Amino acid sequence: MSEETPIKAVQVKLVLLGEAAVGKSSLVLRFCQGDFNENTSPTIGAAFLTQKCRLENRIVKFEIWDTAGQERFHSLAPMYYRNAQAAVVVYDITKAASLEKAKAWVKELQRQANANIVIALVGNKVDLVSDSTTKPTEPTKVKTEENEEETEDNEVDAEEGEEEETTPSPAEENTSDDIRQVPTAEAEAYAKESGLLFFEASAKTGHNVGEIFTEIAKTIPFDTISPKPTTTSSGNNRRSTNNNENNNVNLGDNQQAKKGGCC
Amino acid sequence: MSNQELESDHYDVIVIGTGLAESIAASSLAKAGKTVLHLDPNEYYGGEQASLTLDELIYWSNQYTSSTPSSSKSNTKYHGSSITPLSKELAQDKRRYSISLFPSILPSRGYLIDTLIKSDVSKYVSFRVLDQIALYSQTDNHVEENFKRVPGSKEEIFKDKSISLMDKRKLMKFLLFATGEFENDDILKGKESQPLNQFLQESFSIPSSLSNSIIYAISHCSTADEPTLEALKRTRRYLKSIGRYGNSAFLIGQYGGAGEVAQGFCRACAVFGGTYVLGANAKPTNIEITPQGVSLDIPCHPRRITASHLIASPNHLTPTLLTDSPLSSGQAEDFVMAHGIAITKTIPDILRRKMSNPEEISSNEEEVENDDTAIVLFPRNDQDVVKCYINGEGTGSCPTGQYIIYLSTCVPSSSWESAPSDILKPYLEKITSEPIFEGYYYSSRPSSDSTLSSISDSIVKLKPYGGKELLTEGLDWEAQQGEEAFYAVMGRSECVKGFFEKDISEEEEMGIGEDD
Repeated sequence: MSEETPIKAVQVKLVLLGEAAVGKSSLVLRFCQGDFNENTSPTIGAAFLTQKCRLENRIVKFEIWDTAGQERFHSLAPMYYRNAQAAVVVYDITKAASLEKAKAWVKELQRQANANIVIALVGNKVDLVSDSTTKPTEPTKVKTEENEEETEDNEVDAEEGEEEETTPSPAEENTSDDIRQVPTAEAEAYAKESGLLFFEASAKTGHNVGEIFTEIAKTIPFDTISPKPTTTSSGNNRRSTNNNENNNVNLGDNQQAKKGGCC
Repeated sequence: MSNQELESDHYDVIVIGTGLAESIAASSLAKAGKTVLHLDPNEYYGGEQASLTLDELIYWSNQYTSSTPSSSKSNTKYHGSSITPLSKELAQDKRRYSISLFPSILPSRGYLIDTLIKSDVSKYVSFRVLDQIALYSQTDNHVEENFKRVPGSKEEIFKDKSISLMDKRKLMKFLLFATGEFENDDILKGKESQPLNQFLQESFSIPSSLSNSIIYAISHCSTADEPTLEALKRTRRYLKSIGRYGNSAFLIGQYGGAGEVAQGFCRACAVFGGTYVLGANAKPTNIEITPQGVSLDIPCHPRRITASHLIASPNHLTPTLLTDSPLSSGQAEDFVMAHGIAITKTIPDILRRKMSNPEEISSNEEEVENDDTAIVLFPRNDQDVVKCYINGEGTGSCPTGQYIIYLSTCVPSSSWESAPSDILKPYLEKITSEPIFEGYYYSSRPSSDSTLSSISDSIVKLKPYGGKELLTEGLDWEAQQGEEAFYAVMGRSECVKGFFEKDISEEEEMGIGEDD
């Protein structure tokens, strides 16, 4: 991810949404740092993280905004959605209610965010279930290196975690079915009808995490945010994004610049 | 989710209201390790500094239609509000507007800019340089010629063909004086409280054709007779702001300005662990002083919440929590301002034309865009200047091809009998003949020496800006209030970390992930 860059990276603001404790921060930490921390505190302590995603013909630099807990009492500020080109809406496959919450966030995005925002619906914590039949697209590579208890927010105990193996036995499948509350098909159908990308992933094992971001990077309509803007545009967001890039002042630079333009 | 309760019954600090000062205080305290609960009974962020969508503005305006202000002594009051109904087009696009209740521009040097940089909030709140400042003077000529662009920098003064060489020399002499240590200068001795217009004429022989430009467009005075020393101090700061980020002394916050900046600080606070509750769930009741600090109830939590400190502006505090300040003279009057907000698709061409500057054009590959932010000043005889602030599409606060126009002027309190539109509409008409939306209201703010203080050190009361120069001074006032609230909670001592002071390790970490 850190090779030299022959082409200029396109910056994309990506916002995370979803109920508290579904693993939003963990997904980002996995993507940005390749890490999984069992005891991630509810906030991650940075305004946003950045990570590059290399495609065949371009490099996308994600600027990833976490909710910092401001979603809990429905107090997410409009600035959070402002100019976001992508959103990852996360639910926990072991909690049916979290999918309902995710649907509410998708609605909120459609109300508040750019019209052409790319939204990915992500069912997190597939490491807690092992039935490969429900997720045919993924290779069965779910390894459980850590057997400790999951983070405070899920009710699985260590023994059940231990039993998640590459090839599940029928008995274990039963256990999995008990834990899984959101069938893949149900969430996938909802995503399809709402025009969302869809993934089931595990921040803990890293399964499918990179794929989420790669797929988003591929899906974003880049003509609308390319550095050379088309001057005639109907959407105001698109236009103001361009203006941002061209006229914004970088306050932190403390430059004695004669002109206002940044860079 | 709405029935969720808070994680704790106790916080180090509770902040009520998400105005700019409150938000700066909240984030600086969270950054310093305090546990912060930040409440706002409004559904939107920003309090008095909020930037609203059109539907939110209508809701806001409907609260203040009464023709007289409330009698409350210490907070900002609004009254006389009226707005035109929304057309179909506006109703459809209502969420694409970000209209400021605190229209203001930011000097490139001062409290807020320092705070933005120190706190790193500058990384996610964006600003642009103010394009132009123009002075209006009625002539019999073509309407476009009534607007005269005031040169913003030395270079522009040299290039300005409308000023004679001799006048340029006088002007430069004054600007040099105003940038320097004039407090000890013999020129000023004994004339500190002389009206500025008289001082300019007598001490610098500035002709009246030029003095209005200095008084209104460089010093940003409300009246020509403002005491000289006071005006000079402000002027020096503005002059020193020129060139830091551009040819203008001022920056404009994108997406509605102050409200967006407040949101930025709230986000910073949340990132440092602050808890946010907005709306009806956050309305505090039964605020009481306790031996350990304060306690209060909010609807979203089943038990009483305690805190060592409470920070709030006076409108969130009941009168029993406030007492007459010993400094209060008791007779200072409120500053009353008439405000106008209009949306239009047309403004005079001269306000959109780029100042010809060959050097800039050649070095800039981008197409030359029109100016779309401006300050226009309308001096009035024996009355305060009418200040007009124009935000175009480039500020992200309105749809393409439109402008938001803010008008304001200070008025004597006797003018309450007339509607604010009577005062301001004639000036709006000089800028556009076909506004697609208009709204007007009065605000009254206590002058700074008439404010109340709180009855306990546990309650830190923020003061609303109490001067006439809201447009250019309001944001820095808020930042200063936020910083004072921080020290009121933390105390000033060597062993306590300062306002947004960074750890050494943090300084080292800087740059990680910021690989531009």
